[in-house]
Amino acid sequence: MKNFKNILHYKRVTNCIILAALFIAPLITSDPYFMRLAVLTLIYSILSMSLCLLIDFTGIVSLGHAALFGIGAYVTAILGTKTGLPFWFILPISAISSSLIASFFGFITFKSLKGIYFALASWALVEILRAVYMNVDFFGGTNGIRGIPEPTIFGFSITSDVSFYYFALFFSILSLVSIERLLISRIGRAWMAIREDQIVAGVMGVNVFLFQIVSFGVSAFYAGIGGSIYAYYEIYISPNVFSIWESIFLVCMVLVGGKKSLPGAIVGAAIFTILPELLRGVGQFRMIIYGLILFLTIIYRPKGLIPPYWFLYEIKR
Amino acid sequence: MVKVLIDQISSSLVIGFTYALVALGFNLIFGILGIIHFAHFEVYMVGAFIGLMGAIYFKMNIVFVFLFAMLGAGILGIFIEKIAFKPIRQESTESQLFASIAIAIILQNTGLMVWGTEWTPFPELIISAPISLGIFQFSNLQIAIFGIVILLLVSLRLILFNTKIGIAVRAVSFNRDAAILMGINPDTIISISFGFASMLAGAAGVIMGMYYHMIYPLMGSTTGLKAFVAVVIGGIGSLPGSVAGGIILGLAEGLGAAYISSTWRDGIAFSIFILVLLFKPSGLFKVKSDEKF
Repeated sequence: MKNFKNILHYKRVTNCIILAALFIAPLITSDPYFMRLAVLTLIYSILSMSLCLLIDFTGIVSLGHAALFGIGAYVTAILGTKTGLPFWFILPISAISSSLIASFFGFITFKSLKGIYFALASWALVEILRAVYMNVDFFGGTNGIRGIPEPTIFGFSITSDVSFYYFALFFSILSLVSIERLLISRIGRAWMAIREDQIVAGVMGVNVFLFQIVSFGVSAFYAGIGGSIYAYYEIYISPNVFSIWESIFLVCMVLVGGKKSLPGAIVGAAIFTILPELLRGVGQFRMIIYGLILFLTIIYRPKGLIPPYWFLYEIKR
Repeated sequence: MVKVLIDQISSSLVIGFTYALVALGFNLIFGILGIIHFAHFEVYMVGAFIGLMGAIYFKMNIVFVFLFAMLGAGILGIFIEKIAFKPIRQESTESQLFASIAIAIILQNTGLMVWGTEWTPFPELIISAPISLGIFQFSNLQIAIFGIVILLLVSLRLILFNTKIGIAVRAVSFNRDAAILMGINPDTIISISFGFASMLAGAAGVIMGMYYHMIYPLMGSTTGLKAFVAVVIGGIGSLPGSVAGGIILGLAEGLGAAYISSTWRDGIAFSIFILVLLFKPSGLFKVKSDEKF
């Protein structure tokens, strides 16, 4: 264990190796099945990192991440199928609209709700949005929306699995780096102060209400990016994807991967994306295995699998 | 017109009572441990299936089906408490929340594996016959369910207020440390209240099966979430509140589904939920700070 920590300290070297491995992975194997798993892992790692920011760094437990993910995906699907705008316009719009709705929701809830009550309110957000998607024809009803056009960049359309891999890789590295930068900035320190103690943070001059809204909004921004890429990749979305179970899955990724650790969130995303495929043969049993993994992690490794590790920075304690 | 309304109200009341029973157990556990016990919903589902097995394999009559389901669910609840909550009692609330979610996932999918995703018919425990009161018609099933629910509520009330165990349960939920000083073993009391709560859930499961003649393994997550909404409407920590919350929610849902649109059923429930959380997060029924029940 100590050796493992020592290796982790050679930050630059490890990071370069990981990056290089990620970039050349499609050259080694471009098996569509493998590539699909890789793309989904990357998309879910964006989502789990954004949830990690919320749960581990601001201390807000949210069960509403599927709703934010869903807003991103639905905005992309509707704009993509109805207007045919280019993706570099739709993707930011999806992220921003998810962020705006989340900020508004935060604005009305953070004033009166704390802790577990907020988690429940965010769960209600998931259910209400799902009822809206299912009942309003504009959102495609229970059938969902199909035929989302592929993203095009510089006249090069991203359809093959390998190109999608690089597309998703670009956005997940971008998210990782920007979330890390945010976390060590003034805003991030305010979040961590709120996580440790809301009252003390308030006394130290942090506007707790505002920074909670900002945290929820920023988290939703990344969730919106994830949702947008998900919609582009899957071509078809339906309301059933964005249920409370999706939220619970995302929280599982964060909890199992590692507390207070963005790489942990990525590892969690990888575990929970790849595991279902490995367990495809056992049918219903795989959900039980998920439950067991979550349960055993909470009981035996309450801090998660991966120790806190920053890709870019050395945090002095 | 009035007749249809009365019909709607009486069938919504049955559902409301089911919510109320699940909500009560939920509230008991919340009061005593301060955690949200997601797996309680699945205990309710398992309770219904235990009742079904009792009715089919052991040819039990209605009383024994109820007792059997309550006993089975109670044992399951105590078992969950022992394996999932006791080891992590010192951990943060969110770990406990997700431990119970993990148990819920395991139970639900075990149910799906054992009983399949389809509806399982529930045997008729009472031959239903209409009873007319003036111009209104009820079925004897509804009357029986009302009777059972009232019996359960009264006995819960009597147990909590008039027996030594019940007083100990209230003492632990009021102040655990002081209760320990009074010679109460909190671990035993926590197990006992999980037992009580799960027994109520098991009874609710059988009621649901009796009323719809159908049960299915996913019923836990659909009804259970509503029961939770009922707890919040009534106020977390207030037992009369959760009964009232269950009834209010059942009526709002039933009438909303009848007069607005049946597909918005869940939307109505969760909108009420958000409204209550926003404007009265402590619930409609005020909990006196010195008394939780």
